[in-house]
Amino acid sequence: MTIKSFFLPFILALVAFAVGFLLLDLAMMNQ
Amino acid sequence: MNRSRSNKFRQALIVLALAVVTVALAFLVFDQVNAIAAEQDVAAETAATGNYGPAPKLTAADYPTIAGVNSRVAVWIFAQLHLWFAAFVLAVPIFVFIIEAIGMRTRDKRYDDMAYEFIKVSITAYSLTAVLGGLLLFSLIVFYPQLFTYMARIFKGSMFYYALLFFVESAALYIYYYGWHWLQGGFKKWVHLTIGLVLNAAGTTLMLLANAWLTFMMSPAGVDPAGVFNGDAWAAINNFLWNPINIHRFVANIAYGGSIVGAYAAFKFLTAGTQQERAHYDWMGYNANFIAICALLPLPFAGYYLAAEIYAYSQQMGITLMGGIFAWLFIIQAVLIGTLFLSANYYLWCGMGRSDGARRYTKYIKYLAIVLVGAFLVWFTPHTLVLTNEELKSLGGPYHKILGPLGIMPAKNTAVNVMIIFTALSFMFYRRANKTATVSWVNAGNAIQVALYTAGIANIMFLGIYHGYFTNTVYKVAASIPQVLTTLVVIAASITLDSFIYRRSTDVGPVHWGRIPARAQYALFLLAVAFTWLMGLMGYIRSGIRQHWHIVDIMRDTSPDAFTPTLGYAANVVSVAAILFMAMVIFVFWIAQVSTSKTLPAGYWKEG
Repeated sequence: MTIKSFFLPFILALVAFAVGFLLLDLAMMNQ
Repeated sequence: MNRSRSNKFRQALIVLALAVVTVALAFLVFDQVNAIAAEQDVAAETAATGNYGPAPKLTAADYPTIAGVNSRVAVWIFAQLHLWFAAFVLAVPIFVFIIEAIGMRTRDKRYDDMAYEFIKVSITAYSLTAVLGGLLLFSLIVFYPQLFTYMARIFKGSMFYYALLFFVESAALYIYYYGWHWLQGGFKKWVHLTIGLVLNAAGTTLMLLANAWLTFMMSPAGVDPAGVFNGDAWAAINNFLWNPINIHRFVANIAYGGSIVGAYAAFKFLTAGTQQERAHYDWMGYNANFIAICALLPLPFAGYYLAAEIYAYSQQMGITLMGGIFAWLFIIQAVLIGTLFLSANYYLWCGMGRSDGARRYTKYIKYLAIVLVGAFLVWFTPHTLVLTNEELKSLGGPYHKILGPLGIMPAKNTAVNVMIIFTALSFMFYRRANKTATVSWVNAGNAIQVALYTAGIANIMFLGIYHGYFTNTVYKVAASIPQVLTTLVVIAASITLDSFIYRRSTDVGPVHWGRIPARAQYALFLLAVAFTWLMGLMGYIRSGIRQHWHIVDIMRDTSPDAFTPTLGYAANVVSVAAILFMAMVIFVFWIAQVSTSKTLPAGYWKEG
């Protein structure tokens, strides 16, 4: 396991999922 | 073969005849009830208040008693026993139907055999359900005649068709079970599956009708404040709490049915004589546990929705439920639900020993266990403590300054979502245990999985902590919905991603069914017992929050038993009922065992 093969996709995916969940929260916490 | 089949038919006919006699008796009683109702109708008409009179105002003299019998406890235990068996016999056909369809799709006969064995267990339970239903009906009529008369006048149509539906259900069940080996292959198999669908439609409709009667007693509709019925039967059926109860019970019944057949498989596993039998019942126990967990995961959401709707209908009832006398029973409930999650996970971890590749994942189990136990502790932390004056002084109030905040719902919701996500993670390890991925991007795939779980849990924590403690109550309750959605997204995305990572994967080796310690089977027993106890406890709470009302705000309970018993007394009644149920379930398992054993007495029958 190298930095490129694990941590790069991990960081990218983490940012993507975090943004996705925050959008979900914003959509629900209003209608 | 033909002889045993004709014997089975004879038994079925006897049971059917008994059912006919019971229904005939029920109709006779119904006639009597109708006669009383007709008298009341006449009285109501003379008072010129239309066809339906107000709910009767009763005195203690209106409740017949039988010497030596506590009428409330009798109805309580009969209703609870009837419901446990009813939940079981309604749930089994649901997953038997699904398993049979899976067998037809995969053409793997093991599924067909397992489905047949599950339905065999429910046949004896079916007649016990009917017997207990008769006991409940008679005890309601004997001990609470005025209440039953009032209810029968409002629900006369649904009660009549409820009784008729039993013919449909019995006929479908008997053809489904006794015709299993006859209706095999091609078109016949489709006919058989269709009969299973009819059986499920009848069973579910029966449950929906009975739910309407009991939710009417909690949230009456279609009547004015005096209890005068406006004639709209659908309004009375479709009352405020009907659908929340329908959803919660439908899902819970499947989880409960799965746990009971899991206990049956464990019983057969522990008494199996050969390795082949052990492998068969281990596989059956695994599938039963799988069904129970699949239904258990969405269950806390359905329960939270039901409780939120009870609050929405009546704040007084809601506060009695979780802030008043019943709050401590909810702590016991939390311990039992935690037991369910821990025993289901423990069974999965033990089951990983069936495959040789599992040791790659066993090092993670201890971390899963630590998180599950931590979430479990938060899940049952009480809010208001029962304290003496000295303890109150030294604590500075009824709430502990650190543990107090963990006693309210946002902490519970966060904890249960974490428990559900980690149960899904246990499942992921179990599914991966025997596989080796062959795709080139396996490291990136695993990184995405870790990121998904990390982001999901962080979002659940954020919603629970920020909206739970730093915004107003509306947001506190509402935050539970994105929490639920986050959990569902994590589980669905994780399963989807894993299916891509393990596309064209290779197996580490054959799965050794039957290679599982006996203590895993006791975890299956624990699952069934904890479910039973939990349903008994929550059944009492659901019924008990009506307090001194037969029908909330409409019809007062003026019987000598119109008080809320102490928590210990109620817990004892529920526990006695649970032990009675377990004894009857052991009888059902034993009957299923006896039906396959033969004795050949040497020299008893004359030769030739």
